[in-house]
Amino acid sequence: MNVRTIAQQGLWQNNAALVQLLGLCPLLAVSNSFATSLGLGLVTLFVLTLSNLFISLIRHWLDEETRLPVQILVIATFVTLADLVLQSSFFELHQRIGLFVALIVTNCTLLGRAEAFASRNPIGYSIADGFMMGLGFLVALLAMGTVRELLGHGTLFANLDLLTGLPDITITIADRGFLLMVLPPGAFLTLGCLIALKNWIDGEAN
Amino acid sequence: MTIVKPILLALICGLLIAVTHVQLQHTIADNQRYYEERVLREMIGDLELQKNNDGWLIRQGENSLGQLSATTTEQGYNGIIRLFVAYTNQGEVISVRVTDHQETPGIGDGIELVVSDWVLGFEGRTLTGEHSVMALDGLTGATITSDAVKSAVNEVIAP
Repeated sequence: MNVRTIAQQGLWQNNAALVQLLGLCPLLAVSNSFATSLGLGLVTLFVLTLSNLFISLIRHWLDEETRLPVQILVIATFVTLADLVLQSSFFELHQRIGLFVALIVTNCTLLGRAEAFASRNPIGYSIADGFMMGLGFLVALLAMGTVRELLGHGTLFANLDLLTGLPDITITIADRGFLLMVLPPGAFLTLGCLIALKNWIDGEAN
Repeated sequence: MTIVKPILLALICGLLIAVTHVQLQHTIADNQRYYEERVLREMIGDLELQKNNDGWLIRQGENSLGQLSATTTEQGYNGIIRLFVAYTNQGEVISVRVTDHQETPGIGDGIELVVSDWVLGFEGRTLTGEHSVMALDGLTGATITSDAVKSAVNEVIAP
């Protein structure tokens, strides 16, 4: 066990979205633009890292029978705090993705890592695992967001300035796009192709 | 008793959230107010707003041009939709903006200007006739959501 294997697992080999297929609801719902993908991905990363940290901190104090509800309690607390911070510092982003920030609690990645890793491993490794799993999820989100926005809207980085306070760097390659890509079926198709691509890359590497 | 630890943790977490909420609530309220004012400004440009019972009176100098009302509807697909409707004294819609909703992203969220131009279609529409509010084409695939907004606007401009 070292940080390098944790990173490999979180980013590629055991990627939360592309391999474990966890957190698909937020993944599919907010990935129709790069900006919303970035927003939700960063919040998820933040909450996942903190929840892993905290649960690792109290792992010896937990009882076997109440472990799961306590983990959910911790995750829900951090999600609530993150939502409050979002409302006070990134209000536009909250207007766009607020619904999905609340749903981060239901993202199985968080409970999954809490149960499978943070409740059994030291704080340092748990933080690393939370961060890497969150980063892997973020990367998957950004890949989806890029494809869906380019094909669905014909733009990239649209509204990034509004939502995150970064300068406007919108790239427009077309007036309109393929509507399907911003609707749920397009999300599924994109995800399927991404997973296929990853599997193909893994196959070629062997 | 194994319930003690969860309860203790729940109290600590509750306290943490409460403290954060108190610290941030003014900033959040300011954000909501700023956002609302920005929407109102966008709806009526340079005209003046004067608070009254139903919302705001729209004025230009001494003349009252119309009314801007805030309204809500629960006829949408999910939860409450909050919207502002600005209309002239003759019952013609000046503009409509949806400020809050929980409609389906990618489908019903087209009622937001950020997502689609649909809500601009209300401008110039009236209660009856060829260009009535209810005659506006709904959002594709979001009949319930668009009907809810149309009905809400219709109710506002009705005398």
